[in-house]
Amino acid sequence: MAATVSKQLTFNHTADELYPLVLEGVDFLQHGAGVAGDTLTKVKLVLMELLTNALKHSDGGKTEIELYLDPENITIKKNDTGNPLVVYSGGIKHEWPLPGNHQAGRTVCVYSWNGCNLSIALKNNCRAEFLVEETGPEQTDLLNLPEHFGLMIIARACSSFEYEFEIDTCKNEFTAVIPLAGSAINDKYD
Amino acid sequence: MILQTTTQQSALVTTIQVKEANLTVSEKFKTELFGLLDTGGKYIVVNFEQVTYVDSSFLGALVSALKHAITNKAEIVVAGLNKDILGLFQLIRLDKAFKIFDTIENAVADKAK
Repeated sequence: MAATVSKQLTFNHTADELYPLVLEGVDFLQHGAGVAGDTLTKVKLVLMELLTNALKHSDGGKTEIELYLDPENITIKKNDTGNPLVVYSGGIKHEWPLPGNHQAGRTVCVYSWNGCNLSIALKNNCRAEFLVEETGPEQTDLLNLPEHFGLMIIARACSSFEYEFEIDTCKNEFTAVIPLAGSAINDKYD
Repeated sequence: MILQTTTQQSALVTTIQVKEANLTVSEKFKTELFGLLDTGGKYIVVNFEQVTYVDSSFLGALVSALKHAITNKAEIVVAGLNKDILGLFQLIRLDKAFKIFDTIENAVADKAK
């Protein structure tokens, strides 16, 4: 098995900590593991948005961020026991864990603009994968432009972005994977 | 105040005075930008020269102001984005929603066209 380098960051949900923690994670990968360029920019975006998400939605407690580096990928995990994922699609609220055991295979579109969708592919009632779908052609109806970009930023910066709600512990886990080489745009439908 | 605003050739140039344009200042930014529109601003250049990074909350506030501008028959353009911020605009296609200029001077000059 390939060697993995890892680092853990703890976020206590104060705004002052946010950017220094992003820089700590970036510094670890840059100076401790030689990650550079476009990949490092994507890491910065993903860390920033995961921590912003925690600040907005994690109801007290703390959030743990884990960074793993192997020869092919950087994996960033965010764990907390705060509020579970909630998304709105077509005016309908979806809150995890989703009801029933019939969710596998369903897809929920949570963002759509300018020839691009962000969808959630449901694996079961607790696990989901975010997918960027290029629908084309582009159209720029600015009044319909979404105002929530966090999940889209992460999904576009990663090759894989998943969420899982662990029922027994009420733990939320987001997992974002950024490849060390090649395109990192998450266009699973292309 | 998050924004410092001057008038240049009938354009309002409003400079974001924070390095970290994030969740903690996004609502204030939105309120101040709406205020510029509501007091008659028709061409607003949002200057990012002092900003190191932006997050999704701040971008959401900027988009909200853009929609308000459209309904007020006004225009918001952006200038002075660093490489990371420009990359973020492109990543989520906000470069299709906003006119982006390298400099304030170019943004102001564009109004005259």
